[in-house]
Amino acid sequence: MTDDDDNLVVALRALPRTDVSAEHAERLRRQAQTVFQESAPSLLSPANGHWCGTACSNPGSWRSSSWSMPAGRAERRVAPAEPASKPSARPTSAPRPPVRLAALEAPPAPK
Amino acid sequence: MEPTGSNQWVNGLRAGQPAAFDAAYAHFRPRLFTYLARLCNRRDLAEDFLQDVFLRLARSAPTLAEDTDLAAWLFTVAGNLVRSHQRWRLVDFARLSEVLWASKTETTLTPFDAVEASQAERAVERGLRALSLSDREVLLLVGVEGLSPAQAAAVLGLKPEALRQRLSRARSRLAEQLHEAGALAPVGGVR
Repeated sequence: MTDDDDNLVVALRALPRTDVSAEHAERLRRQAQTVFQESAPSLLSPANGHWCGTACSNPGSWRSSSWSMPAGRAERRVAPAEPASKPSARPTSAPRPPVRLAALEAPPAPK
Repeated sequence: MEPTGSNQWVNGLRAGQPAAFDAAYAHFRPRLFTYLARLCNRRDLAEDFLQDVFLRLARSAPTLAEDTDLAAWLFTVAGNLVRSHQRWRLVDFARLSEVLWASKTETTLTPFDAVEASQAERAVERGLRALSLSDREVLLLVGVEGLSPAQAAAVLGLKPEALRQRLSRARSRLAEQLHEAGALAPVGGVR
């Protein structure tokens, strides 16, 4: 190393650090911590925000203390989460026609 | 340079422990923000990138490998974000920074206005800003952040010899900048 290199090393190491404001740091910490906890492997929720993989009007509600998993659905929590867009892809204003029920209806009486 | 608990943080992150995330956040936030601010020369962008880095860590934590070098992982993500943004914007950050530096105010720009006490520091900051992104990046990682050559090579996706060459060239260019500014005087020889 030359003297110039030595001086550069010293000069670079001596540069000060900067940081975001304390308020910004805390806001970011909370945001990231929330995402971290939602992604944590110990939780029931998949990454899309709801354990059952469906769109949820209150994505945080599954973590409320009053929530309990319905009986018989234990296996669904470990299944891969469906893409969030799937359950809501069907327009709610136009329900699917009751195909199976229609098939059971009696044919119209001949005139 | 890294705390001895770094591996414990990785284990804690993999296990979803909130305390591990907070510890890693507290340790790396100022380092990453300083790195990002110097790399892109804009405080507002650096804040956005910092947020993105930690959100990515939050999402990826469960899938980290046991032997993950957390510092290298975080600096890799940070550098990739800046490079990706630069490609997208097709902005010459060095020129942009000159414009911004000329018109800066203390409240809107970093770095480092608070430390204007030192002429040498300001000269080095200016010299860094005048370098290309790749030169600045390697100097920031090794020279400022104290990453080992192996870590820096991993962050930049280089072989050790290529890193050594890039570092050497970057040092020379910074030294030229400082010579031209008359700022590369002996600084005491303390290492």
